[in-house]
This record gives sequence, structure tokens and C-alpha cells, in this order.
Amino acid sequence: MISNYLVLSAALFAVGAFGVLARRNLLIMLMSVELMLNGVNVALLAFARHWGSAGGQHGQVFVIMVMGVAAAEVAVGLAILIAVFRNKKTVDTGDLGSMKG
Amino acid sequence: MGIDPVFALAAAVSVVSGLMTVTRRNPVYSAVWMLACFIALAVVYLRLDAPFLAAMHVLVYTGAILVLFLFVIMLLNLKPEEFPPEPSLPAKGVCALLCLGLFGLLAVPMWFAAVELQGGTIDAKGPAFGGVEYVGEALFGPYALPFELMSVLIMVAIFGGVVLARRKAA
Amino acid sequence: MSGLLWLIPCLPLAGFLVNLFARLPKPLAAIVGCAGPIASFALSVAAFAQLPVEQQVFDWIKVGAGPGALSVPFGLRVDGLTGVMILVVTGVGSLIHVYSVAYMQDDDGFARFFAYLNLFMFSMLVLVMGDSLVLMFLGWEGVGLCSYLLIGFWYKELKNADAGKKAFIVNRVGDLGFVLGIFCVWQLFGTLDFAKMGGMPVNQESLAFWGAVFLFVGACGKSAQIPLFVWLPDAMAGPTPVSALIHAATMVTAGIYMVGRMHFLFAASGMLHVLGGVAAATALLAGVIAVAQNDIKKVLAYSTVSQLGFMFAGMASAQFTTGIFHVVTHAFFKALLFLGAGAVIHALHGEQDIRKMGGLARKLPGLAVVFIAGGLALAGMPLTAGYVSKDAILAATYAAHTGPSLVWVTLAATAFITAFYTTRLILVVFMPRPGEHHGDPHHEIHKPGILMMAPLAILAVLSLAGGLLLEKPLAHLLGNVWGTEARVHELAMRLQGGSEFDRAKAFIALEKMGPGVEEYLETRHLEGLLKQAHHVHSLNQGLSIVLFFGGFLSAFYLYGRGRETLKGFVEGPGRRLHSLVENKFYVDEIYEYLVVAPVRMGATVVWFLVDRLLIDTLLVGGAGKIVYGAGWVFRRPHTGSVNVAIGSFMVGALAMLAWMVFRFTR
Repeated sequence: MISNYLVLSAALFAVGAFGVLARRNLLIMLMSVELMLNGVNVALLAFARHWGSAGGQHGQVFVIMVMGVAAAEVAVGLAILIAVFRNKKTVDTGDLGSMKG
Repeated sequence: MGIDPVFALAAAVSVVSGLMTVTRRNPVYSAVWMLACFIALAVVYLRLDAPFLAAMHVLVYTGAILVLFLFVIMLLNLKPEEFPPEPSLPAKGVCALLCLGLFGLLAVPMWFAAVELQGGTIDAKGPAFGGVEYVGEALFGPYALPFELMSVLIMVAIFGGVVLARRKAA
Repeated sequence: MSGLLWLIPCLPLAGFLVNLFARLPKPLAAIVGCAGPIASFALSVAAFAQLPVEQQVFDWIKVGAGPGALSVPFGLRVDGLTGVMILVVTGVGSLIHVYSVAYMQDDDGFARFFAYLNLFMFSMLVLVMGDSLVLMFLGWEGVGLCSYLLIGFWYKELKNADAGKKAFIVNRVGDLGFVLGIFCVWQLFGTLDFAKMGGMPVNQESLAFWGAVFLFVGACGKSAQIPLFVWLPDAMAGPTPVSALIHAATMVTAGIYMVGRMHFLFAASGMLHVLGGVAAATALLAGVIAVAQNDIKKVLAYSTVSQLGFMFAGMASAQFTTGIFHVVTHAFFKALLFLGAGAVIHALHGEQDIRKMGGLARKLPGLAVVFIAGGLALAGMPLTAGYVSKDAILAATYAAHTGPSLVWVTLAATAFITAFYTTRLILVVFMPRPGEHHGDPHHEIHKPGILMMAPLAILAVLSLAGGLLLEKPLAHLLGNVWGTEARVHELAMRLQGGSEFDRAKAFIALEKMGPGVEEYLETRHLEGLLKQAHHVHSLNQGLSIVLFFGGFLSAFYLYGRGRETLKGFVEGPGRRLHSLVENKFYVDEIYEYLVVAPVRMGATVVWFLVDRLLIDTLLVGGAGKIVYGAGWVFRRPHTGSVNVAIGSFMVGALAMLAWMVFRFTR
């Protein structure tokens, strides 16, 4: 039943969002982003399954795309994290204030 | 209308381990809880009749992404006193409220929308819905170009990662 | 020669540039400063020998093409009128330059003075040599600028700088009139070239009238006529050679020159009557004021205004030769008087108050002789230059108004007053003061050197003899400019009929035309008329002589040694009258109340409302404040904190989500 899967998707998304919002550790924030993406994946797959033969392929291909983008994003994000850590000796977002206007 | 018990278990595990992931103070624990979350999600994928995606999910997320996280965690080698201070409880409460709102806004309309969608199409699956052949046909057929572009994106990401993380020649 | 015409104005210009930038030592600066005008004078004489000459130097302004296009070449043209003017300008100018070498020798701004003086020569020469109104206007503005610079030459004293500003601002009024006049002339003729428009018919009468009015306003400004004369007496704040050159001999006559150039317009529009009225009023008013002035330069300044009125009256009589003739003779004797006054001031270490002078004839006999020569010319002593030209104007006015008119009477009265105040000036300055035992108030007296005395001597000779020498040649020369043939013909036609006055008028006009007229009349068997004209003219001459001696003797009676009559009158019953005249009829004060005060009040209001309130506070300050405030508001969210950024992003995303949910679900 698709509703259950969608609710799971929303829950995962919200949990990931909480991680991004409420933490100051860059590493954990990146992990939370992964959780959010997974939530989206669940929804995509659920809809693909729901529409079955009519649109199942598209949904699954989209999941794969999301996975690819997630992998790239993590690679770059972690590289940035390392660069930041090297310069500032911290992974605390509270210390990253150079964008202050 | 009963709930599929396997799905219920997997969903509960994934959400709980997701919560544990975002609340652990030590990133290593977070990574381990995330592993649990991903495995539970693989089960969810299997329950959605998508064995190929489940396999890909395990491969990419646990095999690549999670391992990358662990590498970085070890590279940084943060001592517990170096963990960033966490926001105050009221701030966290506000964040939690926001996220509950988000959950509500996402889940409630989708629930009702999905209830309206009740056509029982969940059972009208094709013979090979989640198989390699089924997905591969799409991936190398109409989606061949996006698929190749994806490879370009990942390559760029590799370059970017190398450039950003490289130690500056001092 | 015509290829070298451009050198006449440009040599002083070169002197100006050299002296302005080169910082030469004083002797060298003096040589450079004097060389330009003297060389120009030589060239002017050469040009004068080959009249008429012209040269197109370069294309200056070109706007549009085809009919209606404006094309102003930088063209110089020397005809009889211009030839006379450039001779006066360069000749008198050169003498004054030489004189200035001695007069300014102790001044720190020596080179600057000569630079300005040379720039003035350039502008004045462009003014008189330009072949179009635009070039004339260029020179017109140039001389105005130099006048301003030189009046305020000793700018460290506020009074002098203020006088310069006053001259400049009052002249702006006139210059605006001139510009409007140029527009009218352009509309009227479609050309600004004097030679071209001279032969054209004047079709649109109202346009011609307004053009003449505006040009007359311009002439009033530059040549110090009512109501714009107030700047000239104040202009005496400049060094005395400046007063002699610019504010007596040359620049102030630019208005008369312009009227002469545009005579067809003035004649066609009937403006000559207005001109005559204004001129006579100015002459009388300034003459009366001059009687009660105690500053030697102020006396001469008001006398200049008065004489300028005479010149305009000459122009107004439509016998333009008389006006220009008076320009020439006035340049001689007024330059002489100013330079002589300068020598007196120089000798007395800067003293200008005639009440503190006296008995100078004994101490400076040479100076006294030349000064008295100039004074007699101004007063109209028979046979001097001033007498000849002034008499010509009186006669012409008599003729123009067919007999004794108000203008003529006014001018005659002015001639009397002129003789009076000139004699007074000479008596007070040079004769021993009553009751004074020839005690020397100043221990030491600067004796003027040869550099000062030589120009004075030359000018003195010209002032005494110039009139008789130049009258006929000038009449002949200028007659060509204004078309003797046509005029004689017209006059002869009028002689055939008309009233007695009409005939007399024509007689006198004819009599003034000079050579050529006699032949013309003889061929038409009208030589008898010439005799009658002589007769009418001699009446005027007699009157002139009477007026001169009247003024001369009454001044002698009142100011000669030991006379207390005047003192008693001035301090007694005539006190009010005297202070009225001494304070220049309060014209400056009236202008202050009528013009300056309202303008200043309006300016203050506008300054406060528009400048302070609207622009400074509201627009400029307001724009700044708005930007600053907006920046303050927008800067608040930019804490630089990643978490706050994410949080606000989340709030926004939630808001959009909520909107979508409520928008797309029923």
C-alpha cells in the first residue's frame, strides 16, 4: 500500500532535515543530507511501483540518478570538509562565519 | 487493511536508526547507525519488488558513501573534546518543531492523495518490474544520454574532490 | 597684407600666453607685454593703408547644410570703421602699455597685469575686426572677462573683488540682451555676417524692433548707459591704466561701435529715438554726479559715463560719424586724463581724494600741463579735439530733431556741466588750496619718469590737435562705411521741399559729410545750400563756445582761491541737494532695494527650500539614508552562521510547501 511507503519517505526526509538543522557537526550534517535523499528515493520507488508497467521504469531510473548525484555530492562535500578542516581546524559550522554581511 | 509486517519492521528500524544517526555526538556512531538505516531501507526496496535497486542501494550507499564517510572520519581523527558544541535545547526544540511541520506537510497530503489513488495498482505489476533487465532497458534506451552525463558528473566530482582535498604545496 | 591680418589680434594673444605661463623677470615681461600691442599698431597702420582688407582665418562653426545652415568662419574684416577702431585701440593701447611699465613697476602681479592687458587687446581687436556678430560677441565676452579680471586685479581687498563682480554681473544683463539680439538678427536676416546683412531689406518690423531693443540693452551694459551704468564708477577699483584703457578709451565704446555696425537695424526699427533719449539722460545724470565727487577717478569715471552718453547721442542722430569721431577724441583725452590722474595718484603715494590735493602745479609742472590739456579737451575748449567732436554731436542732434529738442537741450546743459566739473577738478588738484601756505602735506613726491610722461605728451598733443586734424579724413573714411552717396542723395531730395527745420537739418547733415559732398552738390547746382548749412552750424559752434566759457568761468568763480560762497551754500541751504548728488542720486541704493534685495531674498528662500531642504536633505541625504537603512535591515539576517542560513532556508521551503499543499489539494 503506497501510503505507508510515502509516510516512511516523509519521515526519513524530516529526520534528515532535523539532522541538518539541529547539528553543528559538518560530518553529521552531510550524513543527514544522505538520509533525506534516501527518503526521496523511497518515495520515487513507491510511485514507480504504484504505476507499475505504466511508469515503473522512469521512477527506477530516477532513483539511480539520485544515487549518482548523491555519490558525487558526498565526494565533493567531504573534500570541501577536509579543505575547511585544514584551514580552520574545525568541523563546527558555528565557526564558519566568513559569509557574515 | 493490514500492514505488511516486514515492511513495518524495516520502516521502524530505518526511522529509528535514522534518528540515532542524526543525534549521535560521535560521527563514528552516526555512521554505524546509518549503516543500519541503509540495510533496513534495502529491505524496504525489496518489499517494493525492486531487487536491482536494493542491490545498487547497498553497493552505492554502504559500499561507497558510507565507507567514504568512515575514511574521512578517520582522516580527521577528531577527539571527543574537538566535537563541535551542540545547539541549546530550545534551539533544538524549534528545529524539531520545524521538522515535525515538514513531516506533517509532506505525509498528510501524500497520505490522503495516495488513499485517493487506491486503484489497487500496487498489484498490477509487470512480470519483471524490479529486475536488471527491466531497469537496464530504460537506462540504456531512452535514458542513455542522462546516464552518460551522470558519468561525466561523477568524473567532475572526482576531479573536484582531488583539487579541493589536495594538500596545498606550501 | 590681408594674409597677415590675423596677426593683429594674435600678437597680443601671444604676449598674453607668454606672460601668463612663462614667469619672466619684470623687464622681460614688460618688453613682451608692450611688443605685442606695438607690433599690432604697426600692422594696423599697414592695414589701414590698404582699406578695405579681409581675411578668412579658419572655419569656426558649421551647423547644418543647405538653406538655414549656420556657418561662422573666423573672418576678420577691416573697413573704414574698423580701421579707425583698431588704430585707436592699438595706438592708445600701446601708449597705455608703455605707461603701465612705469606705473606698475613695484607691483607683485606685474607679469599677470600685462598678461590680462594683452588678453584684453586680443579680445577688443577681435570685437572690432570680426566680420560677424558671433565673432563680435566672442570679443565682447572676452573684454568683459578682462574687465572683470583687471578691476579685481588687487583682489586681496574685498572691495576690489566686489567691484569686479559688480561689473561682471551688470554686464551679464547686457550680454543676455546681446545674445537675444543675435538670435533676432539671425531670424531676421538669416546671416550674421555684417557685409551680407547690410545690404538686405528689413522685412519683419517687430522682429527688427526687438532685435534693436536687445542689442541696445547689450550696448547699455557694455557702454554704461542708464540703467546699467552703475558698474563703471565702481570699476575704478582697478589699476589706473586699466581705467584708462578699458573703462575710458576702448572697451566701453564697444557699444557705440556695435550700434555703428548694426546702424541699418537701429535706423530701420526707430530705436534711434530711444537711444537718443537714454543717451542724453545718462549724459546729464552722470555729469551732475561728477560735479560732487571727491575721488579723482570717480570724477573721471562719471565723466566717462557722461561722454558715452554723448557718443550714443551722436549715433542716435543717425550721423554715425559724429559718434565714432567722439569715440576717437574721447579715447585721446580721457586716456590722457586717467593716465594723468594715475600719475597724480602715483606721485601722492596712492592718494585719490582731491580734497587732500592742491598746489600740484608747482610741484609737477609737466604733469599739470598735459593734464590741463586733457581737461580742456574734455571741457570743450574751442579748437581742441573734445570741442570739435562734441560740437559735431550737438549739431547733429540739433539737425536730427529739426531744431532745439529736449535731447539737444539736455546735451547742451551737459556740455556746460562738463566744462564746470572739469575746471573744478583741475583747480582743486593743481591750484593752491585756499588758505594753505603751500605746506607740503606729503614729504616726498614721486616725479613721473619718462616712460610715464612720453605717452602723456603724445596723448596731450592728440587731445589738443587731433580734432581738427582728423575731422575731415574721418568723415570721408567713415562716410564710405555708411554710404555717403546714398545719404547725400537722400538729403538732397529732402532739401527740395519740406519745412525750414527740415532743410536746416539736411544742411547740417550735409555739412558734416565731408569731402565728396561738395562735388556732388556742385554737379547738381546746389552749392548754395552748403553755405546755408555752414551758417546754421556756426550757430551751434557759437553755442558750444558759450557753454564752455560759461562752465569754465563759473567753476573759476566758485572754486578759485579764497571763495567761500560755495562752502556756505553746500553747508547751508544746499546741503540736501549736495548730499543727493554726492551720493550719486542713491542709484546704487535704489538698485539695492529694487533689484538686489528681492533677488537675494528669493535666492535665500530658494536656497533653503530647494537646496537645503529638497536636494540636500530629502534627495541626497534621503537617498543615502534609505540605502543605509535598507542595508541595516538586510544586514541583520546575514549573520554568517551556516545554521541560521539553513534554518531560514528551511522556513522558506516549508512556506512554499505549505502554499503548494493548500493550493493543490482541494
